[in-house]
Amino acid sequence: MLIDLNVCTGCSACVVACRAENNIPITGAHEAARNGTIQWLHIDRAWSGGQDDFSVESRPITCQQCDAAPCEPVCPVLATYTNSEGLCVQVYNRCVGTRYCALNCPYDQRFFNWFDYQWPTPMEVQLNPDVSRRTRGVMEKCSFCSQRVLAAERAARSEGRPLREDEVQPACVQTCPAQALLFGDLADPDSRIARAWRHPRLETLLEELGTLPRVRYVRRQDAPGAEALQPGAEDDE
Amino acid sequence: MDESPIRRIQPTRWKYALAAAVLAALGVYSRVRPAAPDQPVAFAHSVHLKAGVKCAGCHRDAASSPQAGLPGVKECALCHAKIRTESPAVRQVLAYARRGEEIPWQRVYSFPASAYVRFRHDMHVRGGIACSTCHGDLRQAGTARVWKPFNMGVCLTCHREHGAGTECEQCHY
Repeated sequence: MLIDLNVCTGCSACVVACRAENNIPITGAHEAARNGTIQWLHIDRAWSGGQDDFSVESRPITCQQCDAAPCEPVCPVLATYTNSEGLCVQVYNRCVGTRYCALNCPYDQRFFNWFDYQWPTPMEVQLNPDVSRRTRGVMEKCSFCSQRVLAAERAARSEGRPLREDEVQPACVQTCPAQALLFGDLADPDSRIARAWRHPRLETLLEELGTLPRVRYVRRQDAPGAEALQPGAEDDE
Repeated sequence: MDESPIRRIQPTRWKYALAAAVLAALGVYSRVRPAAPDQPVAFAHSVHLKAGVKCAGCHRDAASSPQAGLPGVKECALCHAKIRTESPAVRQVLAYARRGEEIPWQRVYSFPASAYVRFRHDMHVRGGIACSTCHGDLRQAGTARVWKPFNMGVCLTCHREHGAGTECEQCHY
């Protein structure tokens, strides 16, 4: 996934879409005060400049789907692993709730269900039937909307054709009104994402940790250091 | 007299032990193959199948949706307005239809919520898996019961055989 910080306005539509798509419970004010909020996708804001002349950078942060995911080797029951498509998968039925993965995630993108959260009537009507309702004692995180990936793959297989590039879109990507998010198959060298992946102004979060995230950000043009680039270097090849 | 502890065990205790073992075995067996649930109407799959009705004739969504689907009472009444109206089971069905009430069929196959597992009929039907592979030969059966013990071993054995993929998130999500 590629997130263009030049375009993101921080409107939080992706956050709402993610919550609706993935049956993410609202844990309430009491839990929020204890850092018990469950939010697979949130927006980090960074302020810069003086009081009168400031700018704000909004950065959607989600599970970085690391290639070398620190959360995976610490799970004693192998409830999280990298699948053949390179997705860091959380297997709810295996999870026994040790919370080691949350401890080891440098991005703090793993969330534990401390309680059985309820959807008071009539809110349970809007639950997505394609996604599990996680119960108490289970860890959860962004899945890149794997249910959508699976549904698209099933449709393609039934019709006997390869998966089209624009067929899979996680809820956040689909919703973004500014189209700041781009999702696709990096293994396909001709895909839009694979071409954009070589953008010279890309950055990854906590790159020095060597987690090799599969979420990258296009740095803002007015960000410090951006002007050091050669003119025209930020254009696509 | 030798006072070894083994001798002290009375023959009747062996009987108790045997009874306990049999009960435990039955308990395990009934967990693996639960008894058919009590259905409100003694529906006979055998009669319908022998009369030439296909599975998909009633379970119409099996090829297109995760659930195979059950026909509504009106659909039963459609055929049974004329056919075998004298049978007590059919009379029961017609009584439900007259009251405008759905028949409260009991679920036969289900997964515990903690399994977080999703079964899709459509992918299996379209993949050419016969209904009888999991549901048994219903030409010999009345009301449906769990024919194949449903656990991950059974699923995975078949998935490996057919190269259907064994990634966790394919079914658990």
